[in-house]
Amino acid sequence: MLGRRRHDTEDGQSIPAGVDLPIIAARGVLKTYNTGKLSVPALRGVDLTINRGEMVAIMGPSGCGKTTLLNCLSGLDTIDEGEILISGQDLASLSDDARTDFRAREMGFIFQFYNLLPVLSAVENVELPLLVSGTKPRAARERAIAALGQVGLTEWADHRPAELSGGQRQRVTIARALVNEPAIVWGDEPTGDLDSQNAYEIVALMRELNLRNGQTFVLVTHDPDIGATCDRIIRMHDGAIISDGATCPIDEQLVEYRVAAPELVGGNLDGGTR
Amino acid sequence: MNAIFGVPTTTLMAYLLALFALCLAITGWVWLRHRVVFKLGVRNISRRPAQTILIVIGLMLSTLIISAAFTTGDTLDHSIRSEVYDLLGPVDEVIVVAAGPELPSQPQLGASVPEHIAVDLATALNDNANVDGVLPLTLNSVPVVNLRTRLSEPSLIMTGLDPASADAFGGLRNQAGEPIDLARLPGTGIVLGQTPADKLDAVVGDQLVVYINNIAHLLTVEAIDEDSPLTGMLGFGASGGFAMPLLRTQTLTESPFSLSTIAISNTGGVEDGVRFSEQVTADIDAALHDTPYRAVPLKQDGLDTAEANGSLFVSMFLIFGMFSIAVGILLIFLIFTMLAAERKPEMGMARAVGLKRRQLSQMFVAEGMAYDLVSALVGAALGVGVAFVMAGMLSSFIGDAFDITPTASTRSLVIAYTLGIVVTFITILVSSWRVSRLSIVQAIRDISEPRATRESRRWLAFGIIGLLIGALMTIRGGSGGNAFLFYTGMSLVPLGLAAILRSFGAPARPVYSIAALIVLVLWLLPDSVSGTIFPETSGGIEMFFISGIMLVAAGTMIIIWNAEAITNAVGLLGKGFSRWLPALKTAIAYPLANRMRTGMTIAMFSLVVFSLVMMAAITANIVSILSGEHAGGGWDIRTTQATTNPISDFELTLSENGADPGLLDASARASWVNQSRVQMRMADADQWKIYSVNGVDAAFISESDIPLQTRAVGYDSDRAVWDALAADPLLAVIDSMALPATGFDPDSSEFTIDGVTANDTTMQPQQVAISDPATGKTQTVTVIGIIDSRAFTMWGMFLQEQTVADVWGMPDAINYYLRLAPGVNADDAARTVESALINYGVQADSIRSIVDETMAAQRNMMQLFEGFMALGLIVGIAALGVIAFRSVVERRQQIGMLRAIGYKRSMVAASFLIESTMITLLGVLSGTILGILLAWNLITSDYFIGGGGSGFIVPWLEMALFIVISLLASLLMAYIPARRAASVPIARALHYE
Repeated sequence: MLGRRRHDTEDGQSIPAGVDLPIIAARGVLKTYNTGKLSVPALRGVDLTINRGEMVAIMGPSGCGKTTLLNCLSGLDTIDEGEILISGQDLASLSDDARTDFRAREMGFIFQFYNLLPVLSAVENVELPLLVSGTKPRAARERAIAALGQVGLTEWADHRPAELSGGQRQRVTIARALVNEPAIVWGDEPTGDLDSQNAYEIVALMRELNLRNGQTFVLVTHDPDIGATCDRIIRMHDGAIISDGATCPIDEQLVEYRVAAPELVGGNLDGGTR
Repeated sequence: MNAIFGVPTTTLMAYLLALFALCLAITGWVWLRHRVVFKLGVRNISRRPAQTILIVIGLMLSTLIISAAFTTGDTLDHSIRSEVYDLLGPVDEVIVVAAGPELPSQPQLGASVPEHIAVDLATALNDNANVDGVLPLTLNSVPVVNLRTRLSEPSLIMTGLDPASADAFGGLRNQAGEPIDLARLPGTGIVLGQTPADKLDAVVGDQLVVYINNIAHLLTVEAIDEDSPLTGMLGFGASGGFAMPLLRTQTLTESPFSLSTIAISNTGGVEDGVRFSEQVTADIDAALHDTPYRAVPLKQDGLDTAEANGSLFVSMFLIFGMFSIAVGILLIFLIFTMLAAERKPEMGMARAVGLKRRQLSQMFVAEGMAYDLVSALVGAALGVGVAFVMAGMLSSFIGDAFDITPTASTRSLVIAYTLGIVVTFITILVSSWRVSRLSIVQAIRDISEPRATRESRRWLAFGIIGLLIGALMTIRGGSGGNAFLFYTGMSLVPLGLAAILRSFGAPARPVYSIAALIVLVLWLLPDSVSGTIFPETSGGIEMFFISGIMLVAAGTMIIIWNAEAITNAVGLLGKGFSRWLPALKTAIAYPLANRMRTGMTIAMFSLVVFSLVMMAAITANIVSILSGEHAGGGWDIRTTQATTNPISDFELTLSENGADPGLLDASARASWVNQSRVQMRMADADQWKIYSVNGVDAAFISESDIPLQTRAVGYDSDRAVWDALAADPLLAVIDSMALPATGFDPDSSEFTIDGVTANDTTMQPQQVAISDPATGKTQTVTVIGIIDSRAFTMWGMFLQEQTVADVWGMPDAINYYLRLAPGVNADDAARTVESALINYGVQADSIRSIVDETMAAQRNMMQLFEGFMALGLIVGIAALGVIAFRSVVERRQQIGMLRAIGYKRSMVAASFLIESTMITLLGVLSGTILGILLAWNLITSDYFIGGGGSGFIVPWLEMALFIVISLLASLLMAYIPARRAASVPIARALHYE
C-alpha cells in the first residue's frame, strides 16, 4: 500500500516503510485578494500536511478557496502570511527563476480546461516540460512518446489538441504532468470538463499512476466520486479547512472502478473514447 | 493644385465628399435603426485603450500617405507659384518673334524686336483697361569681373530699360528702399541685382568690367536692388544681372533702335493681374497681327508649370506610396479580423440571443467608423507633418533654385481625409462581412470553424471566376499588347486553378505552392525568355506596382505553405541553444498555426521592403551606369559661353591668355540652341514639340567617343554613323530621352521620336522636321542613331553646326568640349580655363563634377522617395504590435500554463520576441530577395540603360539598413507585449477566459 512503501529522500537516504513523510507542509497560510475597494480573504490560516505518495482531494463549495490553496501550495501564487514547505523547501524564499526551476523539476499540473498549447501536437505538448528542464530534444521526444504510451495515446502523438476528444486531451495533460516524473501532481478539477465515462477513465488512470509511481496527487474537485477515490479528503469552507480525513480503503475503490471500467484499471490502458 | 491624374481636384473632392457622406449615412442609419447594435460596437472602443491606440495608428497610415503626397504637391505648386510671382513681378506677358502660329516659350536674348514696335504697342494698349504698363527691354548675356574683389561671373544678364516706362513695373530701388531714377544714373552706372552682387561680393561703388563683342567696358555699381526681371533675373536658379538705361545698352551692344523683348504689365497687382492674361495676350496679338511679333503669357505659363509640377509630384508620391497604402489596407483588414477573433465568443452569444449576421457587420461598421473618423483626422494632420519634413529635405536638395515653402491647402486635406475615410470604410465593410459569417456554436465555444461544404463551394466559385477573368485578361492583354492585362491574367489562371483543386479536396500545400511558384516564375522571367514565349506587350509605371503585389502574394503563399521546412531549419539552429529551444518551439508554432494572420504580416513587410529594395537597386545601378566612362562622351571638360564674346580659335585663345598649351589633347565645339527656340516634329506629324539642338564641328564628330544604343540599318558601327553625320549636313543623331516612354507625362511638350523604341538596336532612318519659330525657317533631317543613355551629358539632337546656323542663325550658347592631356587633373584644368578666358565669359566644368552633381541630385531625390515609401514599414511594425498585444491576451491562459510547467519569464518574453523577429525576418527577406530578383531582371534586360550589359550592383548597404531597421523596430514593438506576457500572474492567467 502507498503509505507503507519504501521511499527515497532528496539526499538519497532510504526511509523505512510505514513512515509517512510530509512532502507538502503549510502553516498559517493567509491569502487575501484585493479587488479595488474590496478585500476578499481567500485563505484564512490554513494548516496542512500531505505525505509523499498520498492522493488527496480538496473539496468544498465554489469560492471556498480550493483553487487558491492549490495555487499557493504549488507556488503558482504567492501568500500573504504563513509558510509553505515543499519537500522541505520554502518556495517563498526562492527567486522567481529558482521557483520556476523547482516547479519544472518537482511538479506536474493537470487542469480542468487542459491548457494544452493548441499550436503543438500531443507529443510536442508532452515533451515541453522536458525541454524546459534541459533534456536533449531526442531524449525528450522518446520520453514524451513513452508518457503518451502510459496514458494510451501513442497513436495520437502527432495530433493537435483540436483533433482530440476531451478525454484524450486530458490524457495528454496527464502525460505532460507526469513526463518529468515529478514528486507532486496538482490537479484542478481534472475531470470538470469531461463526461462521466471519460471522468471515470481519467480518475482511474490517475489513481493507477499514483499507485504505480508513488507520486503525490493533490486534486481540487467538486466531484464526491473522485474524492472517494483518494486517500484523503480535505474539505474547505470560506478559506479554511473544516475537515481532513481518510476515505474508504483504496482497494475497495479500485474494485469499484474495475467494475465500472474493467479494461482501464490495472489492465489495458490503451485507447480512449472520443 | 487643380488636377491629379487628369481629374480636376475640385471634382475629385466633390465625389469624395459624396462618398464620405454615404459612409456617414450608412453609419447614421445603423445608429437610427439599430441603436443597441451601434452602442455595442462603439462601446468596444474603450475596452482596451492600448489596442485602440494601435488600431488608430494602423488605420491612419493610408490617410497619412495620401495626405503627405497631396501636401507635397501643394508645397511644390505653391513654391513654384511664389517663385514665379517673385521672379516676374509685375511682368505678365512678353513679346517674342514668331514666324508662325507656334511661339517660343521665352523671350530671346540679343536684338530681335525693332524699337518702334514698343511705341506702336504702347499706343495700341493705351486705352486698354487691362494693361497698366509697357516696358521695352534689351537682354544680353555678358561676362563680368569685379575689379575690387577679382571675383567674376561668366554670364550675367545686362538689362536695358526705358527709364520712363520702368516705374509701371515697380521701378528700381536701392537697398534702403528708395526709388532710383534710371535717367539720372551716371553714364557708366548700373543697378546690380542682389544675387550677382552676392556672387561678385560687390558693394555700391565697385567697378565692374564687362566684355561685349570682346571689348572691355568699365561700369560702376550705383545701387543694389532685389532680383527682378528689371535686373536681369529671368529664371529659377539663374545668375541674374544688372540694369542700365536702354539707350546705353543699345550703344554698348551696337544695336540701336533694337530691343530683345517688350514686357507688359496687366492691371492689378503681381498676383491678380494674371487673370487678364488671356485677354491681354489676344489684344496684343490683334494689335501686332501684321508683324512677326506675338505675346507670350509668361506668368500664366509659369503658373501652369507650377501646377503641372505639383500634380506630377503628387502622382509620383501616390504611385510610390501605393505599396504603403496597400499595406495599410491589409493592416485594416488584419485588425478587424483579429478583433473578430477576440470577440468570437461574445459574437456567438449575440447571434444566439437573436442578432442577425448583418447586425454583427453593422456593429463592426459602427466601431470601425468611429476609429476611422479619428484616425483619418490624425493621419491627415500627420501627413502634413511628413510633407513638411520632406519639404525641408527637398529644400536642401533644390533650395538653390528656389525656396520651398511648406504649404497645405484645405482642398488637399479634405481630399486626403475623405479618401482615407472611404478607403478604410470599404475595407471595414468587407472585413466585417467576412467576420460576421461565423457559426454560433463554434463561436461560443471559441473553437475553429469546421470546413463546410459551403466554403468548398465558395472556393470553387472563386476559382472559376478567377480562371475565367484570368483567361480573358490574358487573351485581351496578349492581343492588345497590354502587359498589365496579360501578366495579371496569366497570374490569375494558376491561382484560380488552385482554388478549384482545393474545393475538390486537393491538399493545400502542394496546390498553393505550385500555383504560387508559377506566378513567381512568370513575373521573374528574364525579358529575353518571356519575349520569346509570350506575345510582345508593354506597360507603364503601374507594372511596378502590380509586379510587386503579385510577386509578394506568391512569395508569401510559398512561405506560408512551406513554413514548416523553413522553421524546422531554424529549429535545427536552435538546437545549439537548448536553453532557448522551448521558447523557439512556441515562437515557431504560433505563427504557423495562424497562416492567414502570419501571411498578411509577412506580406506587409515584404511589400514595403520589396519596393524599397527595387528603388534602391535601380537607383544604385542607374547612378553607377550613368557615372561610368561613357558619361562624358570621351571628353573631360565642358565649357559654356554666351555668344556675346565669340572665340574664333579656342586652343589659340587659351594659350594667348596664359594657359599651358600642353593642357589639352583635343577640343571641339558645339553650338547649343535652347529648346525654347527649337521646334521639332516627325516629318509627317502636325504638332510641333520642343527639344534642344547641338550644332557640332568636325572635331566633335571625329574626336568624341559617344556610343549609340540604336543605329539605322545600313550602318555597321557607331563610328560609321558619326562619319555619315560628318559627311551629310542633313543627318542627325538624337539622345535617348527622345525615345517614347510610358511615364507620368504622356502629353509632354517635348519631342519624342517615332519608329524606334528603347529595346531596338537597329532602326529605320527617321525623318524629323526642325524649325526656328522666330523665323519660320524649317529643315528636314534624317535621324540615323540614338545616343546611348550612358552618355547622359550629351543631350539634345546633334547636327552639323552649319545646319544649325542655317536654321537658327545665332545659337544660345557655345559649348567647347575639351579632352585633357594624360595626367592633367580635370577640376584644376577647368579652373585654369575659366580663369584664362574670363574675358570671354567662359564657364568651365569638369564632366566628372557635372556627373557627380547630377547623380547626387538623382540619388537625393530617389532617397526622398525611398523615405516616403518606407512609411509603409510603420504599417508593418504597427501590425506586429497589434498582433503581439493581441497575442498576449489570446494566449494568456497558455502563458500561465507555460509558466506553470517551467517556462521562466525570460523564456516567455523570448518566445514573443523570436516570433515577431521571425515574422519580420521572413517578410523582409522575401521582399529583399524578390526586389533584388526583379531589379536584376530589369537592369540586365536589353532595354535598360546601356542595353543591360553593365552588370548589376546590389545595394548592400541600403538592404542591410532596411533589414536592421525593420528588425530593430519590430523588436522594439514586440518588447512591451513580450514583457507584459512575461509578467502575467500565473494563477490568474490559468483561470483567464
